[in-house]
Amino acid sequence: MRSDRQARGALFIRHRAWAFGVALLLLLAVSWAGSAHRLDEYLQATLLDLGLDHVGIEMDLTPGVDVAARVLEWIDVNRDGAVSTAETEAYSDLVLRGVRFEVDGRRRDVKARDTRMPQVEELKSGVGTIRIQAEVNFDPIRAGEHRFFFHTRHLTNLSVYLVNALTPESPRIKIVRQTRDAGQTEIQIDCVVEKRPK
Amino acid sequence: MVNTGVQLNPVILACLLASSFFAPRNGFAQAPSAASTASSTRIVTAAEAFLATLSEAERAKAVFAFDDDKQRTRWSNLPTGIYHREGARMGDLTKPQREAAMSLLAAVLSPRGYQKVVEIIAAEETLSKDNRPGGRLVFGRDEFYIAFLGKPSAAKPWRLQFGGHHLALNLTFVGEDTALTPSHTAAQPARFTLEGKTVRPLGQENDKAFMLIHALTEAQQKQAILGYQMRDLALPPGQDGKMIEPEGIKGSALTSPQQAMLLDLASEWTGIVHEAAATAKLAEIKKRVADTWFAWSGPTENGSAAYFRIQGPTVFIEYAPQKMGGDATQHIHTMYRDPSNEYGKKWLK
Repeated sequence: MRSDRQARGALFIRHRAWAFGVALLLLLAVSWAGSAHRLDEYLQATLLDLGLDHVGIEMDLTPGVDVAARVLEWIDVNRDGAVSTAETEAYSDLVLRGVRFEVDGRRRDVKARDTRMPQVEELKSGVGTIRIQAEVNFDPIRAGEHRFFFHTRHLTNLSVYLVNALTPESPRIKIVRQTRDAGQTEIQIDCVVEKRPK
Repeated sequence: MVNTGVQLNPVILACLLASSFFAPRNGFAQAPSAASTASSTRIVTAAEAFLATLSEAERAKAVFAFDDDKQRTRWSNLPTGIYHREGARMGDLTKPQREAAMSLLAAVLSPRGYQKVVEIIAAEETLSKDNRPGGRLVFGRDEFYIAFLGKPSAAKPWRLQFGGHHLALNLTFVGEDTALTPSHTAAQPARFTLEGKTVRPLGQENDKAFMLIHALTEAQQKQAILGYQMRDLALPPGQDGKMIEPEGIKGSALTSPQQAMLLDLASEWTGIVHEAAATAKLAEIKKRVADTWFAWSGPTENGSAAYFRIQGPTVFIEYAPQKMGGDATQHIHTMYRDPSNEYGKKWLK
């Protein structure tokens, strides 16, 4: 009968052999190689935060490697290889000019609050996300049924979209239906605002 | 060159080998494991054992204050080179240190959770051949980090983070309770061959979801299937604290067997953590299953790329194939959140 030490030694050798085998097999047996980054599409993901007198809009824009140069043409307009604060603000304005936001059928202004621009290299790598935070303000909506509408048409030839309503912070707002187009460039959110509790 | 920096704990490895590590998951799940008897004391002991292997300088890099919010939220799906993690880097550790780290993971995770993590790392290792000298993106087993927030304790709260590209486990321990949310699991490739066997780190998630969508009637499918494309996660890493409105089919519109299938699907995420915590979490979700939604986007034939979501008062799970460089079924991202208890917040009030 082998001692514990001998058994541990045998186990150690077995582990080393296993690890070596794994390494070898990973080299030889795995033929698939993929990409860790977005490639040929510009992902525009929007979250809408509905309030009684405002809507917060957060847009996360991630250009893929293959379309990053085309997106950067709209951002780095002086082609100096860097993105200045002025260029960041100008791009944010450009994106928001492509947004249509309506409350109960009436178009509202969308105002930029903050924009975070990643490094140019990150954008070129397909992993940089531009985050635009914007806001729509309006007179407080009354109790009853209301409809919000969001549509974006920024760089539609390159883009794929996500748009979602966040669970409203106000317990008075109950979302009853979200209707989107197949590509999620637009969403109509039907909700009911309950009466203010007495 | 393939880097084999992360070595498996010999005892765990022996169990894995004995039960055929890459055998079908059901077989493995039935194998006895020390991890199934995990308790807070056992976890703390494993954590202290790992920390004891570190030098003072290494410990200073691995341990953060419990209330260090910057470190708490410092996790991502992205690889090294474009995302900076902090903590103890597995590639910088010695073999005994790595073994102690893996023993700690085995203590905090269930056997199938541990297996999932090992398989995700194995998938990640296949990408390491993409590493280029001077290249920006760095993949592989070395690029996983382990970090502590607070001091491991059976009485006081503390946190453990383990992650790298395509994996972010955020565990909060408060006494006997353990929260695994928010956590990110992913796989690329999602299907590969090792030792002549097919490995699918997220295969059960995929297969159980397709079984569920097929178990729904035509009318139920009409409710569950979203009328639009989902090209990514709605709440990816970086979106902590947010919650979207639920959509799809509500649990109350499902039959009991369908609800059981929904819970079984959710258990692929809730069951990553050690058995005691996993059992408690699934029971909590089961209590509110009538208020838990299931949503689907994409084809319903297994083998195709489809997005799904499970969303209830205490759970939010997303599974999103990624169209990056070809076959979306080969690159999966998932998120596991708990709107009521992110980072164990309900136990920390």
